[in-house]
Amino acid sequence: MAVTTTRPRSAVPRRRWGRASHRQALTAYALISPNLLVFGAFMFLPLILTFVVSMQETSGLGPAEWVGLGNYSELIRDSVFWRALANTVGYAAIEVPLALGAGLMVALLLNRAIWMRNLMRTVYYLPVVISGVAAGILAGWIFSENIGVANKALELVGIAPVAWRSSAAGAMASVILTSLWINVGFNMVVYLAALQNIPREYYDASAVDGATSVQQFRHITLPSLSTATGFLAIYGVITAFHVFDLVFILTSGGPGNATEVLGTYAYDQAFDTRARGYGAAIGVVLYLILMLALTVQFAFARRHPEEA
Amino acid sequence: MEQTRRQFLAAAGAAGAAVTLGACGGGDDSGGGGGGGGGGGGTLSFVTWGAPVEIAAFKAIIADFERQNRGARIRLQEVPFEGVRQTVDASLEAERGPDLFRVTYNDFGFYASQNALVDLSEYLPADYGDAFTEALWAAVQFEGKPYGVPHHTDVSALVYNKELLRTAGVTVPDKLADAWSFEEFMDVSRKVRDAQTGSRTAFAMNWQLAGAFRWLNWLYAAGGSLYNADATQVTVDSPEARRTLDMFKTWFDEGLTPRNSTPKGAYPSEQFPSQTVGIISAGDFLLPSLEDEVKKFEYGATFLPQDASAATDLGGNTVVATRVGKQPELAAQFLEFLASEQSMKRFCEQTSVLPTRTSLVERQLEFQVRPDLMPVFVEQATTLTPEYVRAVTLPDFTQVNNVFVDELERFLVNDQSPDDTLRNIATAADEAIQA
Repeated sequence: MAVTTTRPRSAVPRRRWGRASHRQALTAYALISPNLLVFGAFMFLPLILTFVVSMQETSGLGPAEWVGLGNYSELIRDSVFWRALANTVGYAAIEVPLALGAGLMVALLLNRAIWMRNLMRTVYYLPVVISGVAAGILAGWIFSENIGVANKALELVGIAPVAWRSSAAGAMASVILTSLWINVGFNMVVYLAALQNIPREYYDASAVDGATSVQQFRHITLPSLSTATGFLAIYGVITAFHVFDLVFILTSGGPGNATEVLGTYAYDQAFDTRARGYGAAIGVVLYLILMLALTVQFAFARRHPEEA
Repeated sequence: MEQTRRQFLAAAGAAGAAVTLGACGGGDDSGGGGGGGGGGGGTLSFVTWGAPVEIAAFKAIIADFERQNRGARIRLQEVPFEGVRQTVDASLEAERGPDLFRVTYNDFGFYASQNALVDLSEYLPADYGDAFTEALWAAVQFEGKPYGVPHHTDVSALVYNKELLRTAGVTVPDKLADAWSFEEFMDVSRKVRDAQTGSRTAFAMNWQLAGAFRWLNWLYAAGGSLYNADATQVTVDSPEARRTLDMFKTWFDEGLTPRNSTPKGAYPSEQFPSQTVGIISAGDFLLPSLEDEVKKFEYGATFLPQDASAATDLGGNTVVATRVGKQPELAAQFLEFLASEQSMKRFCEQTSVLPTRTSLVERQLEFQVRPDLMPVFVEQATTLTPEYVRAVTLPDFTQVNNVFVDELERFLVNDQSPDDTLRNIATAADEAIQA
């Protein structure tokens, strides 16, 4: 009996809280279950299957042979894989900062009260909603060495035509320019939202203190945009590592392997060469690289929450 | 922290999307299996690609078949050529059809070797193959059994800008026996280049991506080969092959061909209408689209250059029935109808491709597009040899063709040596016959 009378007073509320918590958890799971199902069926399951396929030698049809890490050891000796990896990293290293800079510049311009501002915002954002395939086809015509308007425009201003398709630098430049055209609009929108969240009082107070426009940009605008920049940088790197449709349509990875990226090489191996296991292994490597990059980013964000 | 977790999940999901490459087929299935229907009828799904004239011809033939076979229905699913392989592979992997699909002779061997196709010998008369040209009937055989019908073929010849060649002072051969030699062709190319202005050049090859194997036209014409006669030994690493590669290099070094006319570069059908080049190697199936696009000048056709011998490529397609289809008998019936003399004649005349039935090969067809040029292609087709056909219809030839794309690209763009190029090609070719 003593046991019942000496039961801690906190036990009853805790049990009540537990039931409520349980109900809340059930509700939460019920609400997220549709998304979870879709995510599980179309993301996690394929992810696991890809790991499995990467350990096989298979054309997709017919029997598969278990080769363990054989595809991975072959990757290490594959010079095209290393070239594709270098191209992907190089593409991300050039495209992401340029897209950030251009997006910020456009956002700063369109954050002012200028003529036809809304139309201009729409024009800049429009490429974001165009599929990569359509953009690639358009760019293919624009950068055609034979009939493209890019070279015609250069000729008009007295600049020699660029070998957009037949030189390594020209082909990579055409890919980067097209992806900038696609991505700047998204960056612009995010930066615009962030710019409009900066309290006006900061600028007023700094003006009272005699700050110039450059000082205001350096000490108020840029630091206030760090969260948006951090998000766009991560998103940009992920998108850059995923680049596929644009390169596939625009250059087919050529000339040579000058614009071959991990996405196109994985596709080439998995579906053109029908080395499904090898293509899957490239996909797994791409996934692991991204996870590593994200882990580093999160570690940084935890140490510097104000920068995240 | 919550914000970070959400970001992490979004990022992990986005990253996972890349990895799904390895697990997805990349195309929608054909809705397959051929289910439905009963009795003498039923519905078959048929996956194909095609130019508008080809799709129209297929539809007309299907309508005739459905009229003659009450209850039978053929559901045509049109996909772009670039995606047809992925669509079919994904559907077959999922065992969801299609019942029928169109496939190049080069890719046919893969499906036959993977036990994905219906052995038609059970459904066709024993002497059915006698009606077709030997080389093309051989192209749809695997281990001595037919797994498809040779629907049509097409070959490459030269298509040229008449006015430009006249300006360059070039006389074009009008008989196969008088076709230009390699040396003569180089001289012609130089004259055409010199008659052009700006960055325009003389000649462009049709060896892009799936067509990379067309470099063999020049190799075989030079007296070389990919394999020996019965395709049991690789013979590509030869003086003839070195000479052929040397000629390709000269085209680029002397500015006879556009810098982007590489296996991963621009298609000649894009360069010819814009008058960037004066001569292109082109398949007869391109004539309908050229007729639509070339408005500013007249063009003609002549034979591919020859050296030790004459050669051209095995273009064209077979149509096959899949083992996952539920109605192989009806599928075989449709294939027989599709390759019948009447249907083949109609398809070839409407779409500017060549017949595979000997009865039609020997007849003058009434081609609807540029009937004046088609005799050149018909005569050029006689230079297709059984050795060439055997080489390009090996089950693993698709992989060899992919190696052609990469190795020729490296040779032409990255200055890879002819020795390395031929050694790498020989290795891939050897793997194809060892498989």
